[in-house]
Amino acid sequence: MTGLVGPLAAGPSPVGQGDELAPPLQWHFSQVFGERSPGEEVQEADIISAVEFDHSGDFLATGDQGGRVVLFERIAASRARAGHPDVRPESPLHANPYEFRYLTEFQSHEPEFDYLKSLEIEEKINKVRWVKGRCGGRTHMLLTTNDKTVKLWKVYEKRVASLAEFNLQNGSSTLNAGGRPGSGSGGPYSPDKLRAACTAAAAQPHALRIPRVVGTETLLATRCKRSYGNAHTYHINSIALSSDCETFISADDLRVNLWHLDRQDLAFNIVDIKPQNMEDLTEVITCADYHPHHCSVFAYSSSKGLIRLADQRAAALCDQHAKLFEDTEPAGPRSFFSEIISSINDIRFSPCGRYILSRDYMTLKLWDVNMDSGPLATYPVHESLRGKLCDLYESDCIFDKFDCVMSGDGRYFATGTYSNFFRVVGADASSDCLLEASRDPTRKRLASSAKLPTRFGLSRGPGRAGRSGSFSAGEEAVGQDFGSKLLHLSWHPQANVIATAASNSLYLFYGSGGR
Amino acid sequence: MDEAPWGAPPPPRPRPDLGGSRGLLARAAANAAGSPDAAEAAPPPPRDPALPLPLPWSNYFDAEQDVHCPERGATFHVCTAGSSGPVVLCLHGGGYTGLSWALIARRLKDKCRVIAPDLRAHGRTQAQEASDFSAATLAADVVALWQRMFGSQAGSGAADVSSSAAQAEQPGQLPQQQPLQPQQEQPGGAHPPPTVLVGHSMGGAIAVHAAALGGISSLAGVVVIDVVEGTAIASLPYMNTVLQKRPKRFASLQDAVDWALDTGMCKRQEAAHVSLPSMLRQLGAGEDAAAAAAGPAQPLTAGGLEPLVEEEGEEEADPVAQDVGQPPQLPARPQVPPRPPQAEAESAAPTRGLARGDSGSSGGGGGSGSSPGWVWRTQLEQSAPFWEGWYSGLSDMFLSLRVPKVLVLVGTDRLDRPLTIGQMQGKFQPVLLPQAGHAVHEDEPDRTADAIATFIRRFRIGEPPLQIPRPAAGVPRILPVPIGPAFAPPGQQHAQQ
Repeated sequence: MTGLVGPLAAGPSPVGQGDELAPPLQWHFSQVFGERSPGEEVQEADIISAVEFDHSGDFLATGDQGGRVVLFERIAASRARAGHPDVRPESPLHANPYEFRYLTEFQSHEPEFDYLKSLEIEEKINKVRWVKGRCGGRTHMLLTTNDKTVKLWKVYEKRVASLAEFNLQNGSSTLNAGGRPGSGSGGPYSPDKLRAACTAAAAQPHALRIPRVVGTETLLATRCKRSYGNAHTYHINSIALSSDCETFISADDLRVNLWHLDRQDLAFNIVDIKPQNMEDLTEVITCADYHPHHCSVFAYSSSKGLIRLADQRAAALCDQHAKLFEDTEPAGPRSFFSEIISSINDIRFSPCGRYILSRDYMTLKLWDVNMDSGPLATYPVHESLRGKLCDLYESDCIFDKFDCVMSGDGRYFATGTYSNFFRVVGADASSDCLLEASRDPTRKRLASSAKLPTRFGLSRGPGRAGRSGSFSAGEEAVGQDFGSKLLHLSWHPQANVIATAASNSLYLFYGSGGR
Repeated sequence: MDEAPWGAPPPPRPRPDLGGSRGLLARAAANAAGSPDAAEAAPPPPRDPALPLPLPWSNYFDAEQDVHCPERGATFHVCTAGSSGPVVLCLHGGGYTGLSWALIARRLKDKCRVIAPDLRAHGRTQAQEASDFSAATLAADVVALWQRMFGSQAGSGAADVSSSAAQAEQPGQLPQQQPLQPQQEQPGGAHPPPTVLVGHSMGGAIAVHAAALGGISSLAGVVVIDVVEGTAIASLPYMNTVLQKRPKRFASLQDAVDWALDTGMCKRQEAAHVSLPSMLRQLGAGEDAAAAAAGPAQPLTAGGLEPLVEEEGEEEADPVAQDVGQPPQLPARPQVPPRPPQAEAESAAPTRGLARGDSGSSGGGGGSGSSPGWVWRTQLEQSAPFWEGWYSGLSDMFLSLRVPKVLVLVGTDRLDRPLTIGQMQGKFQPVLLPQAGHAVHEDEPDRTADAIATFIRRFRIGEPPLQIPRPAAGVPRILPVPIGPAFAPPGQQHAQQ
């Protein structure tokens, strides 16, 4: 690896040091937005498809399938504008300062139609990323993307002043009266009226007033500053901002393009894995992420279960990877599905930059950037579903892409699964809990343990049972409802607060007990 | 996935229906996995050994007759089905016969009359100039046949002939030798029935030419099955090789059917049992197989046998053999051991056990003791000089027809430039049947028949035109008049203030 210089880690490493344990957290329900009452029909357009906290943790953005982006703001932060910093309360009985409230929303993408291919371009927001370092204070910039176009949105406060005490307020014409359309000679500001007003004013000069500002209000306005389009033939699956805060990459199934935030008409293609003959297609890009500190290092994952690290300083085209991370010992026997379930759904760099967390269909894997022979650790997510892969393939669920997130200190990982469950594991595998995205995340499931062996055919001998173990009640509940999947979640950068999206509802959970 | 105690689970079905990113991922995974199960389409249905061979035409058609057209110097053997409704005149492809439309006829005969002639030098049609395969001749044949059956002759009774051994045509129709004229008037009160021309491959080209000639006065639609000018012309250089590779002689009908089903020329056993026997004839005593395939030996074209058109979506283990005029298709899966690309016509891989007739060998004649064997009726090699004439200008001619048109295809990647533009402009209706081979009407007869029936119903062919209600003569028309201040003349605005 010649391109990388200097250590990639810039902080304490979460794994491998004895005194930096990841104690289990107690998770409490904090808030829910858009909760669905039972029996209520969920509009497809309301299903949340992207969740992202910003770098300060004061704002939360969600994108949905209808192309809308909804922003939430932390309440304590707004109270803290007066001055004092937030202090986490000692006891969980106090309201946690990580409460959010609705801020604003805007329509980011509209549905489009590709006339050449006769295909609809969905307006579903695939990813939302906050831009940092571009503007301070009360202005925020976000990158949002659907299948084809990335857009840069600016959310800013607009002060609107309302004025009063105009001079031309008389009986016949007030500020609000408008002339009839098409009649140029009418209206309050017609030349005749102005002439009449001026003569009246000249007669009584002391009656002239200067309009006063009676109030200002602050509105949030959103504006699309840039639209980066027409660069992707295939569906964009991820965008990632570089640490230089000026460039970003957008990755679709076969190519990765590099953009500058200021130039919406120019993109550079840095990775292209499209084969000469599409019949020989064996691999597609599934996710790409930038290194948090090095602006020239990025990683992209593929459907073959490979993560490639590329360095932009080595060449203009990063088709040759600098490092290749491959798990050469896949779990379980090989079957037709081994290929599909090894496809990586999501990768994230750790905040320190030393580790990469990857999510494939059945497991979470932690990789050390310095070691490409295999993952550091593998955490199973929903082992109870391994026997149902055939059904999942038939129902297309095997192609679901789950997000994975890392906590701000890099000690915990979280990812979603089916039936609106999500799993939080500690980096040293000491803590592992399966939670449901509902008002009671740790609710005990009622188990029908008598049904277990026949249902999954586990009663094939002691060896079998010993290897996979019998699954606890919670694990079994994961396989109840494949229609509700928790694909998107985000971890607050400074606190143990997770925002999860369960179809059209956004649940926030707060974890206590970590140091 | 763990082994279930009851055995391995069945291999999962392939997912050609997934679109977008998931489709790409599924395909990539299938390619990477390298398992043939993932790549192949559903295996062909098992062959029924009890199906009689040959299947009689009477199971499908109502009658067969010989229509004598002295002005063309030919007597056409025609199979008919159905007794009322619009006429569906089906033209078979090169080397086929009218019986290839049997399954379609069975499906459509309730709603319309299916007429399936054998073209010149095919099947049981006798013609004086049996080697004149030019497009003009064949198209004129079709027009003359239609005239003879429905045009200038008496009414619509031609299809009611129930005798299956009718030799010459009805005496009442003999003397009138009408020269071909466009928009010909017919005597008698009966208007000719609305006609839909359906053509497969070469027959499709002939159908377009015939429609363009204008001799069929009540033409109401044209359906072309699996022929596209661009791809056809591009594959013509390879046709000679293909024809040479197909076996010249079969020991028995069963061998021929097995060869056809194995090589993918026909995917449906029933259709093969009906149509294939009519495409073959038995060798006479002392006849040589090689001599029977009389025709100048065509030199192998140089340049190798690279496939012209890659099939993206078609997943077949067997190469698809097609009729004259289709591009060669490479089996899509790289795991399947590479086979020589199979271009059309009834060709077979040389490694197949049934291919006895190697090019040029005369082994067919020897050892033919009791059964001299079966050879092809139609010498397609002789039609070689006319191939280009069939297809050149076909797309433009097709698009310029003034009747509704349908193009039945296996995949949209076959469309050439004029047809793609024409499709975007809505000049014809494409119907895609991706599971079929080249002989779409034989492989997917139900869907093809449904497509034709839907087309007839949609354009109300054979039905009286829609009555659009119109006001009576003296009723004044009320049209909307714009009103409002914007439309008031300027002089009135001051008054309004």
